[in-house]
Amino acid sequence: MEKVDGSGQWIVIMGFLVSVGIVFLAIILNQFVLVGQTTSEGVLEFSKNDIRDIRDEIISFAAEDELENSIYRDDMQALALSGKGAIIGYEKGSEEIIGSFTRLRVGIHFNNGVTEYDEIASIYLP
Amino acid sequence: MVEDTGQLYTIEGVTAGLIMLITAYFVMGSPLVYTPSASHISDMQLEQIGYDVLLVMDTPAQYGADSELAGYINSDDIPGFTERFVQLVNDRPTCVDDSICMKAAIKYMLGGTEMSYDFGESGVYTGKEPAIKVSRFVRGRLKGLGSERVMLMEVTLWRR
Repeated sequence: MEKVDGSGQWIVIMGFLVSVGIVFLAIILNQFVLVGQTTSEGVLEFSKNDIRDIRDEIISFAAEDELENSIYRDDMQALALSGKGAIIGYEKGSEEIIGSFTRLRVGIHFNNGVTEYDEIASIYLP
Repeated sequence: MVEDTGQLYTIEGVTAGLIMLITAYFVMGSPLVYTPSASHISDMQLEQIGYDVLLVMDTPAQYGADSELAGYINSDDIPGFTERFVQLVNDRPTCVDDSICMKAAIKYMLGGTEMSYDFGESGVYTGKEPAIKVSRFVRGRLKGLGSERVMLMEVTLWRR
């Protein structure tokens, strides 16, 4: 009986091993899509823009000494709840004179059920 | 003498089996379904552009001055606001402009009740485009309200 020569099979097996390596690299590349999606979901979930918005508004209240204006406060709280789905609050803190400036501390609170944000902002008024 | 060529055939058999299994695994897993959750990526971009445009419009040119956005509200200039917003949201200096459409409304409180005042729109919403809503607090004197109030400018954005 003629003997079968199997030496070429090593080449085939090595080729297979290389192909497994390429598939492995392709799987890693494939994960990038998922990373992009989870990142964008995380960015959407964290309400950075809403927090910046109420922060800006509250700081402008402080600059114009309107922090204790109850009409502004009530309207803002009601609109934040209906428009942004968030409970917000702010309160005027201590005042301290530093050089030619007055440093005013303002407590800012934001909670939309997913993100809770609390800050004591220092606002320097001329 | 021990004949070991049979080992190669065994390895070949295992390899062939693996190839078939891996192929079946990838074929089952490969169909890419565009689910609603995948639209988050474009939603995020649209949301960020919307918030940025509102921020740009609500930033006064000088300290203590009224912002552009407050100016449009104070003068009840709805066409002016719409034109400026659409320009800012769509303008791309180096290539073809974007095709984002908008519908804006101002929410305000009147005697404990929430009121809404339409503040311009561009484009027709068919109900099929994925839309997102951006909002920004703004202070101004809305027509018929008299004194300065805190209001919420809400803009719905979608791509044509």
